[in-house]
Amino acid sequence: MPKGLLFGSRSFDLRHLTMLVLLAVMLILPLFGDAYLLRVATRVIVLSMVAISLDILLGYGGLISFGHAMFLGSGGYVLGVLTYLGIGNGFVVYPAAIALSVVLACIVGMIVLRTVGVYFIMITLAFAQMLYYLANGIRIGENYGGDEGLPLPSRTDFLGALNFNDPAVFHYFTLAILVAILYVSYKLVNSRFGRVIKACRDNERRAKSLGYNTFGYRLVAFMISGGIAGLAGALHMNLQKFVSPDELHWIISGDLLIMVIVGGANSLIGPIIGTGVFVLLEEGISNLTEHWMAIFGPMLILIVLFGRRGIYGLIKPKGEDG
Amino acid sequence: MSLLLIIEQMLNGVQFGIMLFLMAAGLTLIFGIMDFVNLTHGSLYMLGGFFGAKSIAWLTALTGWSDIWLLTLLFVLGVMLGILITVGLNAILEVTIFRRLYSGTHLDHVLATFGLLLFFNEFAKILFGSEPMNVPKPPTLLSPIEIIPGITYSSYRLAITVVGILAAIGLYLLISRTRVGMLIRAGASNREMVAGLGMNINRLFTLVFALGAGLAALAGVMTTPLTSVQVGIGEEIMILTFVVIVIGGIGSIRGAFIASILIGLIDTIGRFLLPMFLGYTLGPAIAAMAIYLAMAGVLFFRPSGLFAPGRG
Repeated sequence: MPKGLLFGSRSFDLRHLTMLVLLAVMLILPLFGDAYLLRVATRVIVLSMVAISLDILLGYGGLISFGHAMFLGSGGYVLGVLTYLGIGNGFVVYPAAIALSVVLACIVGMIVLRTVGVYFIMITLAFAQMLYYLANGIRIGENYGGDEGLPLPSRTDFLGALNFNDPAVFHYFTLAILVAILYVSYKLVNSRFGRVIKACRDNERRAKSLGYNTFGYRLVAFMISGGIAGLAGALHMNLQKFVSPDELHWIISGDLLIMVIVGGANSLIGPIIGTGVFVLLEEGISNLTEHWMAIFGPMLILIVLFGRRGIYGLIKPKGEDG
Repeated sequence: MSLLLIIEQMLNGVQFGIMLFLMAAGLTLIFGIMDFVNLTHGSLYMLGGFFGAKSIAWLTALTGWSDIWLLTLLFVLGVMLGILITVGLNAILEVTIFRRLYSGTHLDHVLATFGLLLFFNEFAKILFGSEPMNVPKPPTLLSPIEIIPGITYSSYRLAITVVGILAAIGLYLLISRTRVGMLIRAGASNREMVAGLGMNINRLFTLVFALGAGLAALAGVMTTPLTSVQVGIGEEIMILTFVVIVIGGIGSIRGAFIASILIGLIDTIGRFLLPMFLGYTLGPAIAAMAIYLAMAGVLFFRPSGLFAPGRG
């Protein structure tokens, strides 16, 4: 492996340790045989992918997308609808879920990326809301779809190669995908493309005057982000065996933003940590009280007021960028 | 389908549009002047509805009056009390939380007000329960009235439309005819300049916030007898309000007004007509999407809305 892969720094520090511990935990968890714990862990992995994809836009591109749940939904719905149409082959449905999410990102991106600032936040939100209503209108036959959601009749089959009905197999599969996404994202944000995206964030006018088509670069970033999130949406569908319009609800888009910020934006590990913390808090506090949002909401305000750099900011060596 | 029905639906659309305008007028100023992304505006609508409903019920039980005119008076007093409580609560938040956020980024605003919104939802659930809460219409406004010969319309809907229009006219006079209004307009086009000229921008912020909260609560409590109030109701209307503001241009009251009526009509007419042509599954879904399609259309050609106030 090239020097500094994943972190961009030479020496071993807290971040490497955190990653290794997380990886080790995820690797040995299936061995305990606790179905609930494993399910939560797999959920963290899948949602981490969405958080990473959001951070590519948010942290690196400076684009606050408040509608990222739309891709979680698009991936899930493509998988669900295709399965109902009798196409259950993973080698078909997964690429289809990714491709449709990329196309969706392209169409949405062409409109939302014309705007900046507050407009961008609200338009991404509005588009997700539009798809939320569309999902409410998707019906399969008499009994499925609409606001009641779409159950997955059977888990996706990869020509018999992978048995997704085994939670451990599915867990390891998602873990492998997450590592692959991390690798690709790392390559992406440190490539020339990634530097242009960051330049657009820091000073769009300068990037433009240097001859870069900032709209085009952002659109591609939006499409990549949508594709990753769509893949995660399809995996999420296989995990839950169910997708409903709730998946596209704007509260989910807000939750995703929280995961990225709490963990630490503008890094690839931050979103993973943030997702882990979010899911554990959700499971933890909601076991204590049904009013967990009454505790979580104020926590969020405190985080914004006093701890802006996220958890990642605590483990990152001082004076290092990104 | 009769002409009568279409006219009634159009009037409903205007009524809904006016309610949207009450929400949008405050929010577009908060966005425009303070550059503050506020997700709690919908919560104020919801809280206004709850506090108003509780106030009306409390006043009715307290006085035990049964005369229809006195009950109508109690209704109006309850509405005002509901607005007052909501504005008071919002003022406390402005002093304790929002002020610390003005200097932050949009992302800070989104997260903190999102947290606050989650809190408000649970707060309302604990305080008022998760069942929808109903308020009877004032007894003098129960029967439909004849607006033009042969055509009757709900008198309550007509009344709240009139109140909404009066509020809009009041707002227009405030913004265009008074010194405070001049400062608000100046703030919407160039905030730094207003502060630089020695105006107390913080006081202006507090005022705009209170104004916005009052209008949102007014819309919430007036709509309650029509739809009943429940947890989560504010979010739906808040997202519609965002669409309105974005189409009208952030910071523009005039834009907000035109876009509100437009969205109110598209939404109401769409929900009425499309299911007839597209069936009862796809129809409502497409009707709900129609406003977002309209927004996408407007933004594709005018990325900062129809009437964005000039900056710089």
